[in-house]
Amino acid sequence: MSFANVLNQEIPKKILSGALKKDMLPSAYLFYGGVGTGKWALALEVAKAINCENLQIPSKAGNENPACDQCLSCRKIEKLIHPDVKMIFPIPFASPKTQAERDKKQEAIEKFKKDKIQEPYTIVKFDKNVNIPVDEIREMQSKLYLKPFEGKRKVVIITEVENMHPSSANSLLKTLEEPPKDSHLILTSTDINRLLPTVVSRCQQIRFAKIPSFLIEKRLKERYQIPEEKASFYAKISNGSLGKALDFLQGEKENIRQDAILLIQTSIESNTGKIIDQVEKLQNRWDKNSILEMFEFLISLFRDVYLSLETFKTDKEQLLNYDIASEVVKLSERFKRQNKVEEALELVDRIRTDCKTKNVNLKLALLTLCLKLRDLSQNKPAHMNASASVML
Amino acid sequence: MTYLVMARKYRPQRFEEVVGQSHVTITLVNAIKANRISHAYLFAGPKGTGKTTVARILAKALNCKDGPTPEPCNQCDACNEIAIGRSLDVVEIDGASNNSVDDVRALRENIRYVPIKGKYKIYIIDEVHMLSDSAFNALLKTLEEPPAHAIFIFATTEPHQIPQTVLSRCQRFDFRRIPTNDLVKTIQTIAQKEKLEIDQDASYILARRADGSLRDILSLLDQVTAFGGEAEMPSSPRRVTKELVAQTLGLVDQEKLFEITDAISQKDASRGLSILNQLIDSGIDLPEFVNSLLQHFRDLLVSKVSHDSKILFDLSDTYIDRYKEKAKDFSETDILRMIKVVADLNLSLKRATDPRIFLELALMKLLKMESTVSLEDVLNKLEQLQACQREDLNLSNSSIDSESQNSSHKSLPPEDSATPKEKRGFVSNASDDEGRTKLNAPLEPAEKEKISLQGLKDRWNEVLGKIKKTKLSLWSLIKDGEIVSWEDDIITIEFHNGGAFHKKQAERKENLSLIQKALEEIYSQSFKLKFELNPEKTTSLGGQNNSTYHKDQLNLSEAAKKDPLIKTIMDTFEGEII
Amino acid sequence: MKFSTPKNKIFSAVQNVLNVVPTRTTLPVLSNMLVEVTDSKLKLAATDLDISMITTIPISATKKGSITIPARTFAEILRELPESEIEIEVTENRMELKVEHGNYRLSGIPSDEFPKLPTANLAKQIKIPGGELAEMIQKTVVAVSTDETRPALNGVLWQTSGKSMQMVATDGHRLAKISQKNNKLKGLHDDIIIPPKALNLLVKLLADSAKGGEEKEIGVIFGENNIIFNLDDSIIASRIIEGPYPNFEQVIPKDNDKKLIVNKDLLTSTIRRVSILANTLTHQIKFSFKKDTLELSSANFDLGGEAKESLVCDYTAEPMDIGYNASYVMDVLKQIDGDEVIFELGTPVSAAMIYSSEKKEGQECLYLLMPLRLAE
Repeated sequence: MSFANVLNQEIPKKILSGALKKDMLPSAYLFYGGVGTGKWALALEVAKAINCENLQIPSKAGNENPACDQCLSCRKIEKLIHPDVKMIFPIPFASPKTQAERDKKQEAIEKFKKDKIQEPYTIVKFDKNVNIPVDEIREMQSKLYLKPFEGKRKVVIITEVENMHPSSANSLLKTLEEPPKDSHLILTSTDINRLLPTVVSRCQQIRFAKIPSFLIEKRLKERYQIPEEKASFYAKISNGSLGKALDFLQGEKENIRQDAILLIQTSIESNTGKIIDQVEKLQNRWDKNSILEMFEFLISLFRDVYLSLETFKTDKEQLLNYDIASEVVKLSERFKRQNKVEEALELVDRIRTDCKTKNVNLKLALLTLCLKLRDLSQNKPAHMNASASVML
Repeated sequence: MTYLVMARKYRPQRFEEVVGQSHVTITLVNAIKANRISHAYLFAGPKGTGKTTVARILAKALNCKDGPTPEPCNQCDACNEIAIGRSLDVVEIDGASNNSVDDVRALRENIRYVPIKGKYKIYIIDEVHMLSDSAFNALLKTLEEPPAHAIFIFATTEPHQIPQTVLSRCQRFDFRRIPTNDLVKTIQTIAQKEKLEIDQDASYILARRADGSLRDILSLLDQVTAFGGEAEMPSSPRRVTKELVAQTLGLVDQEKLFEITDAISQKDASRGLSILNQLIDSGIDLPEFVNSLLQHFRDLLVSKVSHDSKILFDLSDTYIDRYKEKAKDFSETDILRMIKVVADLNLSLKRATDPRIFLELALMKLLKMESTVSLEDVLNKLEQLQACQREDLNLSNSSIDSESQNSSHKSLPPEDSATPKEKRGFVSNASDDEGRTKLNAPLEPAEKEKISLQGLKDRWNEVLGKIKKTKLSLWSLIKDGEIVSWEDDIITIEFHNGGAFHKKQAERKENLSLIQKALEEIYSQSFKLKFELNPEKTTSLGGQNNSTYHKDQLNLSEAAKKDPLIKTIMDTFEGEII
Repeated sequence: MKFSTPKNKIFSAVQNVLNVVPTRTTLPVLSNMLVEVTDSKLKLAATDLDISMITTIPISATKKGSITIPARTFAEILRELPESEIEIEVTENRMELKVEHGNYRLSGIPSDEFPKLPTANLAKQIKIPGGELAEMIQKTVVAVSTDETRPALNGVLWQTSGKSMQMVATDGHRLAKISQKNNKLKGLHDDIIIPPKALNLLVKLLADSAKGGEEKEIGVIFGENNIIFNLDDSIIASRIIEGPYPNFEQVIPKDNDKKLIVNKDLLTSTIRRVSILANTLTHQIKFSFKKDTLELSSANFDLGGEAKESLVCDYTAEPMDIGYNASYVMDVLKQIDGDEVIFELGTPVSAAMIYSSEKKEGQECLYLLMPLRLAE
């Protein structure tokens, strides 16, 4: 088990097991790559390997599985209760001001841990904006100078560090560069471009690639007993992310996707009243995260439309949404020209980014998107600074 | 004991060991020799260029038992404790977590205590730009009158965020990105100490990736050696090869780039896509891949245009031949356009949520790109067309003259038609305008004619002709418009369904005035213009002068406008294609 | 697990352990108390991951086992129960307390989720008189730095060197050092840095137990990652701070040739008065050393206040003006034994050595104080 818990990621595994074996584990790592690709899972495995009571010093190069998964230390780390393995993650109410907010913060922490213990690949979602708690960072820094409590070394895992306030990120610099001995920091990020270059530079950067879909498919079949056809589809549509594929098992995601398809259909039917109704409905039905996911589906759909305009009638293999190939063809007949589809794609991506990183009125964003998509489907130009109009 | 990363293990301990910042270290050494010690230093520069390192060396130089000395001994307690950040008299503060006014007040209080061991009390404040405004203000007081024993060394990656008042009280040193060659030399030296044998190629790849930062290149070297670099025998040095580096960092094999190029030249979309998918599945670094593709196309271009293959540095002879061979599949313009597509992609990847999709899109663009006729061909064609057009213009111009001057049918004075001939297709607007103004200036005020709607419609093409000469883009926008009414000095021009963009453009102030000017020149009377959209109207080609060459030319000029090369030329000369 | 015990016996043990249960924690199991029964012993333990406390009491057990249960709730129940024998039984992660008229049930967390507590390796244990240890701690802990930028200074350095030991603390502005001969060190040579939190708790517990009468000896074990204090029925363990500690020996001046001797109480009361008008930030007081006179003065420009007082002393060297932080001087004076205090001085910008005129057998206590640079 152990490193085998982590799907694919052969290069990161080899770098890490090499470092473990040669005893050249640096004090700070940055694991970066797409969501649901196994950064958290591998960070846990490294923490386990560092502290394992029955560590098997790997003999030869290759895909070693250093930690035993059996000893108390390994089990504690898996349950996220090891005193020397500290996890810091983004949650809502990161800086609570009232008792009620403090309680909500605690709830959020417990939810995160619970979800991650159950399945390390889970993408934990909250319906509020999340942040890395500043006080946790400060506390961690002051405790890091104490010797380990029961383990061999201290490990700190800070996930999705792009959600860290710049001042906290800056305050980490010294710790990252010259941490006390016997301690390791593992940072993870899904968006390395949003990190301070000074933070990135102080870490050994390990890139996590997308997971090939056949591996995701296999894992879904083996661990979750998902029937072949569904597993294959989930694997494909989740575009290299096991986390996203697992999301499908919750059921919600299917519905979100259906609504995304409905949204496009409504948009190009060009009746403004109907569009407004539909947007209203969606906005009532889904929270922000789901709407962000909806945008992701739209992107994948337009990608398919673009491709089908190019490789017309070629193999379905290339499509992500191959289960609705006829819908893709219909859309491509509607949009006709690739540059329109490209505009549509960029439009969705931009609105999505704005919704994700800024405080945007979702209803307005959805409406803007629909109307612009309609214009595009009618061969009218949609102006690209569209999202500016939905900024609050 | 935790492994000490190379960046820390080989942190320079003396001024002369500092890489790539001799302009800083020499100045500091000389200042110490001359005993000119400042109370506040500011070290500015990008990450990993040695700011904190030099700050510590400076602190040692000042507080060494033999100090101030340009050569700290690195033996005494003071030196040792400074090197590991444990000195009692050298306080390292991170400006980010101690950025409040209270923090600075505490500092001001502490700074009055005389140093416990050394000669100076030295405050190294990293990321000093993170201090709040009021904190900077509080600091200012201390900077104005520092106690004799106090020395500040500020380090920052963002000097522009520091108030001028603070800057002006510091002696500033700007740290530079470390040149690639210096980085390569340094890791070669360090590799030797680590019993590593690092290939020249490998060290250049690492250096390029490290982007001027010594810390980054050493971190990369750590990573690569953890990944592989096994020694064949325990005693022999471990080897770091180009392949090992490429594998660790997920760099793309040159062969794959050629395969993609083949797919592009053969317009084989599904092959192109499947190569891309293979690459993505194999876990390559996408942004890095885009960079290599850019480099690859650049090499393709260079081998196409250059006869001196030495310009293609970094490549072996076999590759140079392959590039030369491959380049035959494309025209220069093709390659330029490919470069443009990839360069654009590079930008959009920075903010895209899913780089893969944008990568696919860009690949599709590359695949569907129509092979262009060479620039020469375009220019020749343009020239031919222009000859035709001139005849046409001469005709219409003569009719304008005849009517506005109320005289016999004479052709225009020759200057107007002669000018474009010499200009070979690219007309400078400015000179043309001037010419026209002079020409029109002596015109007598025209008799107020009764202008009919039909008359306007009939002569609309003349107006268009004039506009075409001054601003082609405007002509192409409004040529499809139709005059539908003429009332109260207002001409209403209608656009077909889908002409919203045309309408909007035509309504822009500068365009409106151009159209008005053209009308005025013909009728010697000013008009107001109104544009409308007619949803019923679907086709636009109502004009009788849409002869074949016209369409031809439009297509060609559209195509030409998309061409990056022509676009560049146009931008350079502020020209229009006619 | 099954045992029975009189209420007051278990309650006082629980109260003792409750000292270290954290009020807020990210690790839920830490608000629990470990309850473990082996043979005829009941072990109660809690930790906040900085300090761990383990108390053992003899009981009559019928079944071995262990569990962790919410510490505060457990203590509250015990407090309210009438004085009588309580029977406690644990089955399936639930604890049941059987009393005369009923029972109380409480859900727990399995004990293997509780942090692994340090174990006392008695072979490495050394014995130190409790009073002596408390004194050493009290005399040094005042000088511990609270500045987190230099973590090593956030604790007291405890050095043992064969036949003597010393404790040192400094924040860079002052330094406290006390050494004590001890012939029971078993030749131990070690250096550890202990957070003040554990030391303060130890002093408190020692003071409580000292009320009971005769002076006790305490077992001390220097571990790799922690220090353990063995107080017979309970054990306090503290994580220690990563070294190394700066080399402080060099800081101690060797050529301070000017000596001032002054009455401690007189100096203390004078400083207390004069410091009322000192700068509120720096607490600076100017010490003007003149022949057989010490003049203390202060000025607070914000208040527009000034103070000046002279006192008689024994000083014969050349006159000097030196600035000191009044509260630091007070801290030192509070810890100094005897009636007279001695200042050994060098220059106005070098450290003063302060110590008592009286010397205890086998003990050496010294304070260092850095001057504040007087405005020129």
